[in-house]
Amino acid sequence: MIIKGIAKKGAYYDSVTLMIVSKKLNEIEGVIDSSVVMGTNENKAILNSAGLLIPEFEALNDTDLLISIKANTETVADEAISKVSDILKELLKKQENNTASVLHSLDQAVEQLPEANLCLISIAGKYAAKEAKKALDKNLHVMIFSDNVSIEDELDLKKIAKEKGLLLMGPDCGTAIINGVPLAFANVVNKGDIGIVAASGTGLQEVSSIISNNGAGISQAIGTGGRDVKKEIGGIMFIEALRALNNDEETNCIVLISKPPHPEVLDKIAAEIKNIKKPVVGIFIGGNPDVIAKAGAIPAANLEEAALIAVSISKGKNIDHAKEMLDNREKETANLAEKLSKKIRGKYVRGLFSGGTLCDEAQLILKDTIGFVYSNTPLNEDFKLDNLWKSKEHTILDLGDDEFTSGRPHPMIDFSLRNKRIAEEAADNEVAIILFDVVLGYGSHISPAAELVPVIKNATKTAPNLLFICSVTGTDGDPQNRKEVIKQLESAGVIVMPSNVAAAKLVSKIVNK
Amino acid sequence: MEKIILGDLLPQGAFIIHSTFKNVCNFINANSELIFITNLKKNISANSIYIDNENIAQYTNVLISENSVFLNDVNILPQTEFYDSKVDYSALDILTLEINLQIIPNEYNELFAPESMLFVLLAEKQSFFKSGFDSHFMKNSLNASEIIKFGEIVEGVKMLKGTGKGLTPSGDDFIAGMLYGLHFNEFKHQKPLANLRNKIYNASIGKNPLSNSFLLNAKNGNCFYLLKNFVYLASQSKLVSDNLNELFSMGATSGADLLSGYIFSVQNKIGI
Repeated sequence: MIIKGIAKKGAYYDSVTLMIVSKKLNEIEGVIDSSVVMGTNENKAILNSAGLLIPEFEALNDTDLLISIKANTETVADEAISKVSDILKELLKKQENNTASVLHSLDQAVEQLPEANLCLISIAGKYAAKEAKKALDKNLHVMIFSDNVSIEDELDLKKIAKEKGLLLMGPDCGTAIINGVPLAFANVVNKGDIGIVAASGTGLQEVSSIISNNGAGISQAIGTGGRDVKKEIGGIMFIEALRALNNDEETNCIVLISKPPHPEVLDKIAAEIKNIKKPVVGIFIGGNPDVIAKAGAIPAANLEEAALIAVSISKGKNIDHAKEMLDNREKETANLAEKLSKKIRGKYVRGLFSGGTLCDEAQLILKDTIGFVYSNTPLNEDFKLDNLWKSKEHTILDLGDDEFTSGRPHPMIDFSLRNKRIAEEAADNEVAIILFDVVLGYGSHISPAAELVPVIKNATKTAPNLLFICSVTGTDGDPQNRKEVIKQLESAGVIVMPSNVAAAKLVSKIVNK
Repeated sequence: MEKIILGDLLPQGAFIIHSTFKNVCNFINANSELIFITNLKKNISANSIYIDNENIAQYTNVLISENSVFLNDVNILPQTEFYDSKVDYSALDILTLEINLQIIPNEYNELFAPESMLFVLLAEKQSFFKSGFDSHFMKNSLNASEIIKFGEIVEGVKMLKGTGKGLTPSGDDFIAGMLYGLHFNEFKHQKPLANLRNKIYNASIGKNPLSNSFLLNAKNGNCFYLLKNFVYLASQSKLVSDNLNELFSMGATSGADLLSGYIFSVQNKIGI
């Protein structure tokens, strides 16, 4: 064995280049080890420890490049040294020619990553359909995050996708988890055996997060876009996704989430459920659970119940276990409501939601106790707010709806609108409770507590008996860390409930006292 | 007329060419102080001269005095703008910045060059360093980081200085990041750390003018454009992959090494 080396005076190269040179030298047969580093005293000390220092290096300094080779024979060492200049030249040439880091078309992207099988489209809606068609032509599954795609285009694209055996998720599909990869707004959930088909973005996030937080996991979560269950589209992708999960070996239980589908679409879904060999749990928010039960699926009363039933199935427990859990919590919630109702001011609830489905679910729960509430997206059109910027009696708002998001980012990203509204509602002495959601995950605001806590603290200074009640959709694995967010909110006096349902039920019990 | 932006901490003197790259020409004066001319805005720094001109290789001498900046005998001072390299932490959402810094090693580790010193913060990155020099470098860096965490900060810095590969050795970039992190710690914990920064700087300078210049800026809290921009964006909750990739476009691993050092200081409350 021999150690040989050379130095290049005043030669500067970046660390990656030097590491590649070293790697290429090590690939030469007979080379045991090599190193290419700048000649600082400290690097020389490390070379010494690694057995790669030669006496000639001692006199060299920081601005000299040291190349040392440990080889089986002197011939091999000489051969390696002779190749250093060529390797460096080759690398520099490659760096100069490497200009294709920004891709400008789908064709370029496919060329760069030929093994890709899914294309996510997030561009202005008027161009999205054209790009989606191109992606389908390339046999790629497609997720269209963009909205403002015409329903005619959606139908055409979904027909093509179905014919080719591909998924076309969207348009306006905000979340999906495919093969463990979260797409767009999605949470970091456990991998498991529960598959989800959802025509509701925040519904999918709430259910998948609750499943994960209760120790089970997700195989696939397929979003379809909210319009898929309308009559015009006919549930094409909802049904295709259901079939895909039926055929997926990793999936043992399926959860369906949607607002009530058009009756004709519901019939089609019900017919398909009868062909499914796996347990199916269905929550059609605000819909008739009997229809789901008749189709042979397990109906859930709300998103949380759907998630917990799926968890019970996944863990091999009786589904009554989930219902028992929820019944027990109902009693605890009643006790908490009793306690809180004694010290509140005012009489009205104001809900400020970023998730549309969560807003609908809260309205449904409140309807059972206090009746319909005013909203920009009311359950009953008679309760549509005349002026969106001024709440009336009990009001629950979906701040993510188009009327509020025109010209500004979604409230899951930008808290400014909600914060302003919190301050306004707090200044109204008739308001007893502010109910809200916090949705975590990729794409959402990285530090929601940092946005909300100062506003809430400020509001409670002037209105100490105003209650803030919320739920946090997400997991401890999310970039924001659910546990940490809850801790910060609780430190500001916010009552954080384990789910959107639990938060809405607590509010309904307090207001009903 | 071409746009010119001067850094806010250009040393004075007559400068001659030190080294030349595609978009950067380094110049050095008799005191071994370094400045550079660049035609990329992202390279702007406290000791840079930005010129919106393809051909920066035409400049062969620079003369800087209190009232003039001569490039090839033409005084450019009257036609320049100035770059403010200081970060005003009091104007930032420090909590958001801290949260973002804390989550970066786990959530964005794929964006760091595998050759970078992220391994100090994330053990799973250690497996990349296999060859003789690399594994000794890694072990030395880990030992140094433990010594620093133990409180023997200057001793640990001495072990890191000048180690690793590259134009500015990775260890120097990491130390520069630590120094920037100390500015954060000073503001966050309201504890003066200028003495500690001076001690670290004095222990880490060597014969490499590139490293020395970088370390001087870090000691004084003069941020290059990419770092300043990153700090501001990360404090506004807009931390996305693009922000990090921009910072990491500095050198091959320099940006990643520097950020690793910055986070190391913040995470371990160095100096507090």
